[in-house]
Amino acid sequence: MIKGGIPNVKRVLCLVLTVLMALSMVSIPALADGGVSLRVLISSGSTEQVLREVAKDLEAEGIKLEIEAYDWNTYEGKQQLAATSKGGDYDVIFLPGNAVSTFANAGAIIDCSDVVAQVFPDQSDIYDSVKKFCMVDGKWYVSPYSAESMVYFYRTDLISKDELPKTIDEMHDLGVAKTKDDVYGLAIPGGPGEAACSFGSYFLWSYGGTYFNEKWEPELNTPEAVAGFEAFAKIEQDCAPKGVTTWQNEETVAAFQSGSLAAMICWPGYYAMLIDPAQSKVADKVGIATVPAGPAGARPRFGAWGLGITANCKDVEAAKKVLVAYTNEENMSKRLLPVVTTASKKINSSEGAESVNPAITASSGTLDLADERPAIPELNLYIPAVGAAVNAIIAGQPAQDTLNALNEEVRQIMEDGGYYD
Amino acid sequence: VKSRKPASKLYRSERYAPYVFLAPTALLFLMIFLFPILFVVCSSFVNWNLLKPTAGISFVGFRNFENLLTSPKTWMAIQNTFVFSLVSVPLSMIFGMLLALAVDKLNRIRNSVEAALLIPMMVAPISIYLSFRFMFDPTYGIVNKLLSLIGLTGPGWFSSTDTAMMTVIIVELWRVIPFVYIVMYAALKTLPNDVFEAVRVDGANGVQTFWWITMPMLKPTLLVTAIIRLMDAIRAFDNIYVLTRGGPANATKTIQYLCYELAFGGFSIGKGSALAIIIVLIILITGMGLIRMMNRANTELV
Repeated sequence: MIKGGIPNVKRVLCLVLTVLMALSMVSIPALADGGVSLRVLISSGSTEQVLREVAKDLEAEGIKLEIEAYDWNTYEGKQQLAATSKGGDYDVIFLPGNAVSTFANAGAIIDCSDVVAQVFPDQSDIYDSVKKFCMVDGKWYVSPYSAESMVYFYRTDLISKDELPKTIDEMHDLGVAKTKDDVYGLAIPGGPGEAACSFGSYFLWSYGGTYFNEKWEPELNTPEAVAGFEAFAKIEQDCAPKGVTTWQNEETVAAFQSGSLAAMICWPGYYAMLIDPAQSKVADKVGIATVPAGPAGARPRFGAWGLGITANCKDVEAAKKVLVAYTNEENMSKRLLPVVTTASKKINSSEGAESVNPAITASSGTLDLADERPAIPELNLYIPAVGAAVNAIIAGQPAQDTLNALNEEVRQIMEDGGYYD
Repeated sequence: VKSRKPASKLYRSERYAPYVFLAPTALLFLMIFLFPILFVVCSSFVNWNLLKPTAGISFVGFRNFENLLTSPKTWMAIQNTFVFSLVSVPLSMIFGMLLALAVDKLNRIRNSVEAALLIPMMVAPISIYLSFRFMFDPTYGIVNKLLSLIGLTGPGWFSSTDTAMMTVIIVELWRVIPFVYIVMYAALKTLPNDVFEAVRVDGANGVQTFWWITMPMLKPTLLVTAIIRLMDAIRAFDNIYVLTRGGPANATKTIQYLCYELAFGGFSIGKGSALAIIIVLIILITGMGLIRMMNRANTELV
């Protein structure tokens, strides 16, 4: 090949191209048995275990699931990246309700109304709040399986049922009374970003506040908003450990599990972890109740989850089978009910449901009034802003000034988004 | 007349060969450096939300820069970055240098001390941050538990606006002092012995020797290390992400973290790119000042 001192360039290039082509052929995924392999993105936890069980059933039908389960932060990052690239490398994605419209409007997930019609023949069985966030322009973009709102967890050895607070003021007073002997009366995740924004929303709505008016102008510095966020800050300052200003859900749950908290507000999905003796020192002392009401009622944040099929999905028919297998009535009743409040009113109110999942009554009790932050593409810009401001109020900054600055910041975000053109 | 055909074919091959061999490197350079830089510069002038593809990309001129530079949040992040850099860099330099001088004087236990000092460099930074986050937890952390044993009430560390930045700096110092130490120690070992013998003969004491002989000869190394450390400090992100997420009350939100929030949290590519350019400018301006100082020091030394 090397004659006269230099290599034959054409031959070298041909060789390189051939090798590259061969490599690309090898990388095309295929199942030897003629089945299909689908990549699934899910946030790790108890619903992931259910998916693994469903995956075993699906293997008999020639559908292999490559499950990618991540902690919340990693999941959220991957989920958001998928939204920007038609679903990325994933075929099926587990999505929270507030991400559905973003995915649908970005063309990252496809209409799956036919799947929902199959698994929910009677759609009046689905909570209205689920429909509000899982449907876009009258079409279902995810097949829903859970609907839950924040709940009040308490230690049954420290707080009796008669003492349970009905109002946010009572909750504060009880928290103060129970703060003694290395036990803190009440903690709510208040770390910057998602935690402070998420749990701050409960106080905002329960005090009659709102994120935006009908013209999409932010209303985050109204008297109602100030009162709501101040109430949140007062509880954290008077009843919670110092570190709560950096706590996300996980730290708060860990504190409760360690026996350091008399009560906390969090998501009912954590109930299974709290009553697991292997993880919790207070496993046999966990009570659960609906969140107390503010002047405008008990309006916690609401969360719905569903499965969507991405626009990049390599086998839509197989993906639809996955959705049906996960969200059908049998799977929801047998496997999902013990770990989540399902999206079906019928299943949640069925006989014995309460004994299978004691969190159901508390979780579904506020679903009619529960709300969710406006699911607009600017969600990921205004949530960190609101989270930082609420976190600042918890850390002792004056509420009105902080919220005035926040309102202006959010107004700027909306202006950049073209809402006032 | 000799036929030129075979010769010209060979000639053509020889003429193109260097370009062919250079092509992969040139392509790599274009793809990895030039194209991303141009992309960031161009996208800093547009309004582009990746989560809103229907809105498309619209040219907004300098509006992203204007919005950023008039936002109190940006200035707070710049201020936090400068506090972090201006405190952590000199302190790491001082402690690193002192350690190098101290270890240089050790005889018997030098190897053990050197090994211990290098441990932070061998641990993954994220592991360091996570460990410190638990250790400095005001309620459950070991630091406040130990303080309570001697009757002291520990502060809020990461959770208090008064102490959060200081605590982040403490963690940063623990991580970077070994780096400064190892560079300084290596530099100390290269200093000529005869100069020190001469000043000893002249009767100079330890402080005088350090100030008038060691320091001037170490100045170029000190400045190079300072440049590396300063650029690292301005780019601080991973520590903030793991330790505080910019809180509480934005007390530790650095400019790099803000850039992450805009570009990868909110997918606002235009604003994120504009802020990235501002960060590069800050690094360039401060870096160039230090490089000029370093060149002057080198000239003086020669």
